[in-house]
Amino acid sequence: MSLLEQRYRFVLRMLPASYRAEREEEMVDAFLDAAGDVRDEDNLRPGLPEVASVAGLAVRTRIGGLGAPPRARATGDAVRLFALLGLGYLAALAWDNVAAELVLFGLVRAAPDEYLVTGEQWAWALLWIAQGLVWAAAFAMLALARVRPAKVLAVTGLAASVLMYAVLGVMTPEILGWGLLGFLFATALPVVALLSAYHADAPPVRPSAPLTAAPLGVAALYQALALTVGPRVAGSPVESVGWLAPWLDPQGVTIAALLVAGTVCLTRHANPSLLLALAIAAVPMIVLRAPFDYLGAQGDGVQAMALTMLAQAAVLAVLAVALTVAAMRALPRVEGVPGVGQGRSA
Amino acid sequence: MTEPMFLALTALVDEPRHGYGIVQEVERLSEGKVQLKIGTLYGVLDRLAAEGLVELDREEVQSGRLRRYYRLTDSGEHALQSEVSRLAGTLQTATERLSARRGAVAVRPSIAGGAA
Repeated sequence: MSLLEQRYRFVLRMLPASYRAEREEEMVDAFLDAAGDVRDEDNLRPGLPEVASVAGLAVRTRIGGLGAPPRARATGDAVRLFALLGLGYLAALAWDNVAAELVLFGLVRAAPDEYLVTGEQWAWALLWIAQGLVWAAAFAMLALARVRPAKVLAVTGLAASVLMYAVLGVMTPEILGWGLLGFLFATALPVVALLSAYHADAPPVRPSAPLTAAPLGVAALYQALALTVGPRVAGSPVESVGWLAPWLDPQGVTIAALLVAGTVCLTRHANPSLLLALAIAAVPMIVLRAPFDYLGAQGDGVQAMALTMLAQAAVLAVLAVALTVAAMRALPRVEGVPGVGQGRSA
Repeated sequence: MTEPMFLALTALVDEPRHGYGIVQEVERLSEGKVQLKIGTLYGVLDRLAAEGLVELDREEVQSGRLRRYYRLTDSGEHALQSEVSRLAGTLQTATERLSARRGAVAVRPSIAGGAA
């Protein structure tokens, strides 16, 4: 086996084993034919475009679309559903942030004067709202089946988030920590899902105009919850606030929703793609709830808060494993490559 | 139907071809504009095979390496014919509009000249 062949076979290891079992030999044959006469002394490697084409194929075979084997198709549908849910979550956060900023601008209801936005903070607050609304636009585009604009907007939103948190990190280094990393991870994961799962083989998206408003509705519901439950919790003893607060922020409400949805789907033997999508959605929430920032921290209610967050992460992890196992059991294990082995002549 | 799918189907019209054979034929058909990478080619072949537009014709072993030949199916022929008809319609429209534009451009200077 030549050095170039070894290197190309190494690149092909990106593909699933079942796919390689069917395709590896003929792909190697085609690649070596295209490479022509090459000696080991030439020390050639597969070019970047070749490696990129195999990486693209690896994504499309693992995160399947039209014509993919059942397990790859279910994974693809799950990642696409997660991308939609994840962008919806970011869009709802953005609308919630708009509401918060309106309060701070003093436009909605009175906030203490020291919290109100003053002169030079206006530009930053407006920038913050604008970057949030990019997510709302990205979700709306996906809901309307405009996949390409949705991808462009989502990448823009991610770049803006990274840039703004970098600036914030330079200005106030104390915010740099696990929580910020977790937030960036939770922001990036739906974008990665969107870019990888909505490929050329992905089934067409059914446009839905009412869906575009869903994040706004969720944010309005959340604000209603915050306005009714928030003051009561704030008025309770500090220790109780520590136990309750992690269930009341947007992540806490999302975790509660995931726990309910996951349990219902498990008991009703829901579609494997839905089970997998919920399992993927649990991952960023587990990362966000790992209470590393609170280890060793002192203060009233801090220990109760850290313990609640840890419990949330642990229960979500158990749920994610249960959802994944249930989904995998519902799908056939052996997969071939569609079309190969059909119509074979003697 | 994407351009690589269209070109790969066209490459299989006259005879069954193996992977690199399709790459070469696609390059020839597109006058060098489309150079399929191997990963892209097999993505296209997977999609065409899943839709029943191409199928395995035969397997050969060349210099100890497996070589699979693919052929166009009847469904593939129909799909290609439909795409060709669609493209021919678009070409016809484009040709007519270009002719109309040339006619308009040819008339405009003479009108201008007449007025002068």
